[in-house]
Amino acid sequence: MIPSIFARQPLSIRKTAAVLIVAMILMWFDSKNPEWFNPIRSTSHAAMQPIYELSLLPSYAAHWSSGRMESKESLRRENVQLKSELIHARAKLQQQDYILAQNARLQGILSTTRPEQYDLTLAQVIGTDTNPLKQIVVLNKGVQDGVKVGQTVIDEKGILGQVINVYPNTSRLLLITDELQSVAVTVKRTGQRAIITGEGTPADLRLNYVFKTSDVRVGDELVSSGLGGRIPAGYAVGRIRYVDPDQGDNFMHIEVTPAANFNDNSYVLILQDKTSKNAQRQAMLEATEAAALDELPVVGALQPVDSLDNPALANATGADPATLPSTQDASAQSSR
Amino acid sequence: MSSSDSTHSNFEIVLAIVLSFILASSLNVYPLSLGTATLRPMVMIMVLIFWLIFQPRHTGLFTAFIIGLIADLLLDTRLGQQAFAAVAMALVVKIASIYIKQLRTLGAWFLACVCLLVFQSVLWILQMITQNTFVPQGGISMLMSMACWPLVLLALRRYTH
Repeated sequence: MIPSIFARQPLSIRKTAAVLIVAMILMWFDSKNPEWFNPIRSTSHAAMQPIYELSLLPSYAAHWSSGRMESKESLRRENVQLKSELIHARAKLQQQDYILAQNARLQGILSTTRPEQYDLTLAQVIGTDTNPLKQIVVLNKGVQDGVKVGQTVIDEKGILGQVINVYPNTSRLLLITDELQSVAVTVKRTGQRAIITGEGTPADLRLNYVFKTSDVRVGDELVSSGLGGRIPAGYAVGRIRYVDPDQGDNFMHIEVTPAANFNDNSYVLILQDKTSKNAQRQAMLEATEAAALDELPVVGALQPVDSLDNPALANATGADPATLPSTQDASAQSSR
Repeated sequence: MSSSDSTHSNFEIVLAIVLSFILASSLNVYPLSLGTATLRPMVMIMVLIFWLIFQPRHTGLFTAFIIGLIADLLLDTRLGQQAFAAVAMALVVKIASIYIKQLRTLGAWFLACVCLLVFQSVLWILQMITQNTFVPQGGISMLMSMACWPLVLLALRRYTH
């Protein structure tokens, strides 16, 4: 039993009403001009950074203990399995090398631009974001590994999303299943272009702006077309699950199952531009030298380093994912 | 429960309030795996309820408003949503304080459950009106918070009077 007596306080209805009205005004402003609050939001995300940092520890501990506890026998078995997988992958690569060379020749004939080359950085998903309305996860790689805002993240099966905030050792990834995300895709079988939009749940995507007359079937594979300029071309996005032609609209209602695993992916790959990574390293080196010279306060290290990127990208993908709709999304809005 | 009868100084209580909110906010944003994230209790709101019930001299409508705003920023909900819900909840505690004179553990727990229910309902209604979305996971989080609230009471029992 707790021997507590309520201290009588006056019930100030007027004060309550005033505070409630302030809250309503704030809500209204946030819905009309969410960009006004971007500085506060980015500051609060930066304040969360030490907690993310702390949350890295259990995954390190789990990694260490699994390294210690696993028996020799199971390791040997895993090794054999991995070796056979490697041989299979290499055999497939032989053919791919040939195709790549052929592709380069053909592109030379057509004198088109060379496809971009990417380095793959392995990262681990350390947790989800706190808001269930948003499809955001936290990764254990940050600026120190060359991660930048706007970089595309994939898993072994397909595209996951793009990085929206970076911190020294962690970053936040907005998945393509978020309602604010769209990816320009082509249907692999026919080459038809379309736009995929997230639904806010991890297992659903929607294919928009496909006319009723177009040839789209259940089971068609969708790959990114690279038209938005953000997400590189040629990566798997999903597979058509359901086509509903009976709608009063001009366009078909098409549901898509995402290719990537959004539910329990623990390891992901960050696509990093080869040239930009080197430039980033150079910038980091210079920054650390400058920090050593000036003995900057620690607070400076907590700020998100969006500004390191080109300013247009930083503006478009600021701290708040609400402002993130890509170019396709903007065009989608206007044509609605 | 043997809680001492000594009253705490104002400074000590304010310090405890601030520290508890900092700890609660870090628990609130700690990244969890996708499976367990829906089970996450609303720690900040739980701590807020504790202080509203047991330290009404130091915490009130404005504390609820500020904590709600911070929660809005941390959880990326629309600014003012949780603040509104928290103020509505603070009002419920105030009204309850008129009728309840003596509070036992079970009574406090019951009041906290009512508060959490009010908070989540207001939040659901606000999300329906302003964003036209309904997040059923909030219910799981609310039930978890109700179940875990005695832990807050246990951790902060020194400040119950």
